[in-house]
Amino acid sequence: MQRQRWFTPYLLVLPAVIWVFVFALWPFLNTVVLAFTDARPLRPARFVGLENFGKLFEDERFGYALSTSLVYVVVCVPLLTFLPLLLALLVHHKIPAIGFFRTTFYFPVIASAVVVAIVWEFLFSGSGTVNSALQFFGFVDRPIEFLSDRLLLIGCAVGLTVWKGLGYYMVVYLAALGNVGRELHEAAATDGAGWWRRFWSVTVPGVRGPIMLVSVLVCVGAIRVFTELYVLSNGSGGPGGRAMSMVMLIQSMGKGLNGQIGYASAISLVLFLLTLVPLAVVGVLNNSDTIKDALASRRVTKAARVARAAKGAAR
Amino acid sequence: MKIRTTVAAGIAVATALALTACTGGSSSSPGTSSGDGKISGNISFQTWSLKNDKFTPYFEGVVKAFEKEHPGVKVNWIDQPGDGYEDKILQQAGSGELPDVVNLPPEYAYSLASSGQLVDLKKDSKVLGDYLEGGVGAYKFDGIDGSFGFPWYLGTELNYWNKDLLAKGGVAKAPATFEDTLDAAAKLAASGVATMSSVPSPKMLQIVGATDAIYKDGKFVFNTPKAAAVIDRYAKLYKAGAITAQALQVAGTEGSNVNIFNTGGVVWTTAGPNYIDKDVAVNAPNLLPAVDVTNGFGNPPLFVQGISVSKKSKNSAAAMAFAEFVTNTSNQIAFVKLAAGFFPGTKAANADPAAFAGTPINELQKAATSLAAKQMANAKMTGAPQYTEAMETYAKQQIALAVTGEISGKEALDKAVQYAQQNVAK
Repeated sequence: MQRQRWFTPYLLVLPAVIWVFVFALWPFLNTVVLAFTDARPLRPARFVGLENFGKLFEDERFGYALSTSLVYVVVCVPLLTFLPLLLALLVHHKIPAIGFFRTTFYFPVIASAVVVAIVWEFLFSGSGTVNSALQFFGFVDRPIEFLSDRLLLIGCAVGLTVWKGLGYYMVVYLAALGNVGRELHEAAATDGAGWWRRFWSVTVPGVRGPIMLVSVLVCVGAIRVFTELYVLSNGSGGPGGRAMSMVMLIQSMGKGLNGQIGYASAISLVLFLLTLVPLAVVGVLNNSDTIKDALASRRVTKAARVARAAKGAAR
Repeated sequence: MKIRTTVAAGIAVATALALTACTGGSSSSPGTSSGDGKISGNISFQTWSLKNDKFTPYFEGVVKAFEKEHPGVKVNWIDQPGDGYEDKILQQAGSGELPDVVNLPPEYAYSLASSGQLVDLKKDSKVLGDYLEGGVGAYKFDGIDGSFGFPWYLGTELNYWNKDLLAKGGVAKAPATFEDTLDAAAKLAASGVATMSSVPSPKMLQIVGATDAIYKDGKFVFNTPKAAAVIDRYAKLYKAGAITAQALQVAGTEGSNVNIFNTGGVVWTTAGPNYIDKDVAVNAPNLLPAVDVTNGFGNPPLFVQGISVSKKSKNSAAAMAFAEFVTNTSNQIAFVKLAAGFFPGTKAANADPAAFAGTPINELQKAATSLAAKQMANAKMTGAPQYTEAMETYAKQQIALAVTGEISGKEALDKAVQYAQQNVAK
């Protein structure tokens, strides 16, 4: 049998490495470099140091984009973490035709976000279904500005994200619920625990891992929201562009023949760092036991060292 | 071990070099005009959203005629979809693959000319004098010596009114001036009729005469007291219900007003001269009997589409010859015959409007075309090459905010001017 050459394994992983380099690492590194330049299309870029980042603080649109994304996170995370869990509990039971309900709840996930957003625009625009109905029944004289008032617009977009995301996270929870032991529920019931108590003390701890996963996915998704707000405001971000998200701002700054690629890259970099925060929080929470153990063992070692030293001194 | 490290380092360097090549790095290097002056070889010709049942036979005919005249040339006609043309141009220019002959509006031509991607027609073409001065002027840019596009087809904008809605609000005749329109809007609002579904943009403020220019002597100057007063007036009209709620929800985007006009939602819209046959007769035929057309207000806008030649063309002589051929008088007349409501870009073609008038489908189209023809003499380019789409969007966002009453018209315009000044390409 012929022995393999030393470089064979390297050769085998080379395509994957090149792929990752070209499509993940290189664009990322390029963005980091561009963030420190005044790059514009078709013109030579000039290194400008931290100028782009300084500009961020003066740009009120960045402030609005940041707060829009944060509002999105604060509202979406609890809603999309707990509502799908309740939905999953509802369709978890094996009753006739449950497959139909599971499929129905999953439907919005398959629909294209753009198409769904256009349908929502029909619903909520000035002459849309909701406003027409409200006017028909005489609740309002003038249409409610769902898609031009900043908070209402963000609210509509959040509603769309939640409605569309429910089914997806429901499936994640359904898989996890299957692993929560039936005997735990029975034991708790025997001990006299009601439905609510069992939900908090048995179900929730049983799906703690998936809850963490879902909340971090929702959080990162919410910081990077784009489609919903873009389609609902026709790309304008509402009056003053105040309902623009971070990604919308990046898109509007970086596009076209006169796009400010350097500045857009700087915002991208800030967005990247922001998405690291929830990941770090979940990382710490998920490994809290390991971290606690490590801290405890350090304390024990330290105590033993102190005790040993004290003993030595006594001698 | 040393060999392994060397090989690994070699692979790393090779990959890095390959990647540098991927980014197309040196886009700033000036293009080189190669070619030996002989009209031969393969060239590409790019149009913008013109491949359809109406125009395809025309372009195929033009290409065939040119190839017959110059047997050594093969023209590859490509057409790009309406959406995302700017990105497509950017991608082509960035990778050094701009088509040899390309349809560009003046603002895209400005970006490409300022990065040395287009041929100076003043230097390289002998027939530039045959074209309309206004059209040629649209492709001359401050600070860049030369002329960068043959005017191809020109257009302007007219006012269209919904007579039924005007009558409903007690306004007997279509307003003749912008001031009258705002007065009528207030009157119509009292009867629950909305006049418009848009917020003014700096370009629109220039059209109605609220500002003379967008950019002058290196500065953005559209924050005039007159323009601020127009916006404040809009804010009052919005409160009164003369402007629809949709106007604000799509602030910064185009085309919404005309769509709402088509649904019978507003009294007034502006649109091109071919709006009757091309849009309302097709999309809202029931509305057609209620539509009236009048000429544009103040300084009617001039829209120009042109044909430019890439500096990087490998067969520059053939490219130049084709650019001249596709925009010559007879080809332009044949083209605008198909594109009713537009005007050709050569002096000779415009000498006899009857030659290209074509046959309108609807009676009102005839009136619109004739109004547009009269208006073309006064039509002026709006905006400025330095005034980008991003600046216009930002300004519209701020103006929309002023229309809600949250800030004043002056604040909105000052902010828009400041933004434009900060972001202008230096």
